[in-house]
Amino acid sequence: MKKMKKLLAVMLALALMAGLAACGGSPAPAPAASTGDAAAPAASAAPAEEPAKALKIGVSLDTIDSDFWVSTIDNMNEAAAAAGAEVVQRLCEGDANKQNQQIEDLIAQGCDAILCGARDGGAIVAAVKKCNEAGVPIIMVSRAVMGDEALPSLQVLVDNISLASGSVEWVAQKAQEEGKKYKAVLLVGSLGDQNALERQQGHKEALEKYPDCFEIVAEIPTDWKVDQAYAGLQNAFEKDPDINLIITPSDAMLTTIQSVLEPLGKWVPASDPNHVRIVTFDGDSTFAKMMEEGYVDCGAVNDTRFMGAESMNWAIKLANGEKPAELNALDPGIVATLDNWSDVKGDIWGYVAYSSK
Amino acid sequence: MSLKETFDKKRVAGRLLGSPILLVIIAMAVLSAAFVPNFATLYNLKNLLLQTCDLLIISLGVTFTVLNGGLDFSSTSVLALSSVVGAYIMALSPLKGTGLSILLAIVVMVAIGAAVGAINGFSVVKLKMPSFIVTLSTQLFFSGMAIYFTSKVTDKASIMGLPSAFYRIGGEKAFFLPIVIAAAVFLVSHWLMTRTIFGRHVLLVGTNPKSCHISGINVKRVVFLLFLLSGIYAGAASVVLTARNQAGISSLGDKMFIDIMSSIIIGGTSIFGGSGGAKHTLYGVIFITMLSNVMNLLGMDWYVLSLVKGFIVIIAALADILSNRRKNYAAAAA
Repeated sequence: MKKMKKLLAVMLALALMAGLAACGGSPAPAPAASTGDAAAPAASAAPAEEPAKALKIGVSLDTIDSDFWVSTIDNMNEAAAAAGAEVVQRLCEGDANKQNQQIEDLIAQGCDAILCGARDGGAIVAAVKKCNEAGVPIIMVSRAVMGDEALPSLQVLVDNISLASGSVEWVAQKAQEEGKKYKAVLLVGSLGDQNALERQQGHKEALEKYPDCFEIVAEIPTDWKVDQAYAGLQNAFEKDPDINLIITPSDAMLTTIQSVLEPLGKWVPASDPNHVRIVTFDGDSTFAKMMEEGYVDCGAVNDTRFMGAESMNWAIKLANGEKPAELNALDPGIVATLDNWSDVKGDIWGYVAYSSK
Repeated sequence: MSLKETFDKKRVAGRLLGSPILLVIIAMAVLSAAFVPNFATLYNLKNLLLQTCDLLIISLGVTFTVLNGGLDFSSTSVLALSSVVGAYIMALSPLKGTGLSILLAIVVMVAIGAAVGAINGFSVVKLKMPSFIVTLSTQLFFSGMAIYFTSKVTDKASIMGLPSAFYRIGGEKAFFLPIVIAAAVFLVSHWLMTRTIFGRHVLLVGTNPKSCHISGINVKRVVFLLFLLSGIYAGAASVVLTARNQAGISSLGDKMFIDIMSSIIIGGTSIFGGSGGAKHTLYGVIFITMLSNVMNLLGMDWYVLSLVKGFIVIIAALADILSNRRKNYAAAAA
């Protein structure tokens, strides 16, 4: 057994050394997609100067399991490539403590600025403080820091509450025109996610503002998990088959909603009398497809191009010493409905992706 | 043992070869200092030390149950529940902002851990339920309770506004404090496991509970105490982590169990019970933390870290299984 132990120790050490040798050194800089031609004449004009050190921008996110984040990151990478900056990405996969540790590591790694999609707006305060102490600008993307104990350099945010309530207000308008009262099911995201809480707040404010138009028959916490949404929706329809409005805080739940409504014969377009109105949030390609086909009625849409490009561009500006005039840069977003769909769809990132397939 | 004897070449060599992971840690540290950019900076080494402390306390607690051949999944739910209840006391209760609120919060946080540990211990010992099932159930229950509690006391996702004096426990303006706490917890654990009759009984019960019962050892009491200790350690870990993160977080430690078990297994504590201890867990925690740090500094993708950790845990678990099989053959041959 002693020999076995020694052998394993040597194997582990060799594996580690091989791993370090193979993976050592910094990652290759992001390709400068559009600056190649412009760079050549500048280089020949000043051949004696050392090239400027490429900025290193850290990106710390919760997860990339939604099209919204995938599209936002793509836009960030595009903006970084255009500026010749290197991007180092970290995912905490739902662990707020791990995210704080990863941000510490990004500071240790020498990042010139950090973009952060926080897992928890309260827990991230500790990491924001560390960035401020280290003199590393930190920009919050989509999720704000809670309180004013420590402020980031900038926050690029969606106005969740206004967009969410705006989408329900459109349904209220329809209810008044139809002389109808809707029985509503409200899906809620993770209670640990500030975005989910704000969307819930916006949806509920509008629902409660029009008591003659809406009756909330169920509120289903999903923790952003589709299986919980599925079970909750099934139970709600079991209890009350007359539900005719489903409000979801994310397009990620749309296929789950379809799975529940199809066996009930209620997955039909808006023109059908059995149609269940669906209100959603995000604006991904699934949403775009379902709006085109008439299954979804209304959605609040983030602009991922604004989110990604604005935050990365400001990361680079802050790393170079510029300061923003305001703490918050708000994405006004779009409330897309069946009424205005043909006018607004060209501006929606999910539609652009859907129509290019 | 004198200093001369402690640092005798043969003893040092024996210790190094007796703990293979120690050799790997030393090799990794030397290579990283030489080849990994920013590894050997003061800032990074300080972070590494604090991150090690974060994982060590809770891993030591779970080690007690693993020494008995059991598991404690519920430790991470104690982290979350203790965190939000403690934060409530400090930031939202009538005592908020006072020194008394900090003291009361710490006591309550550890007490929650003890209560969960007692429930687990009772279920395993008296109801004779497998620890796997019991602690998985309590993990689900108390995780849910943490989120429910948070939703009832605040409309925010976590509880903030804790007294700034509390942050010192997490290392703010007092970098040494979490290190002292973790070191004290380690020394107490090591003493318990190696220098007390209780510690001897833990290893014996983990090896062969039936023989222990026949020999007159109160097996039920030992097992109950193991789960109680694991809960208490989780409560203590929650104090440090809540102070580090400066908020009561309802999802605290959500994905931490993987790192806890990786540290214990890689450190050399047997999953079959009967061998291992605090020292092994310490090595495992240092290894896991250093590996994460190095791979982050090298800019490796997050899923690569998972692949590497998984591979190393398999190797360590395989070594344990082969060692256990050899012991069984030797016992059968005797």
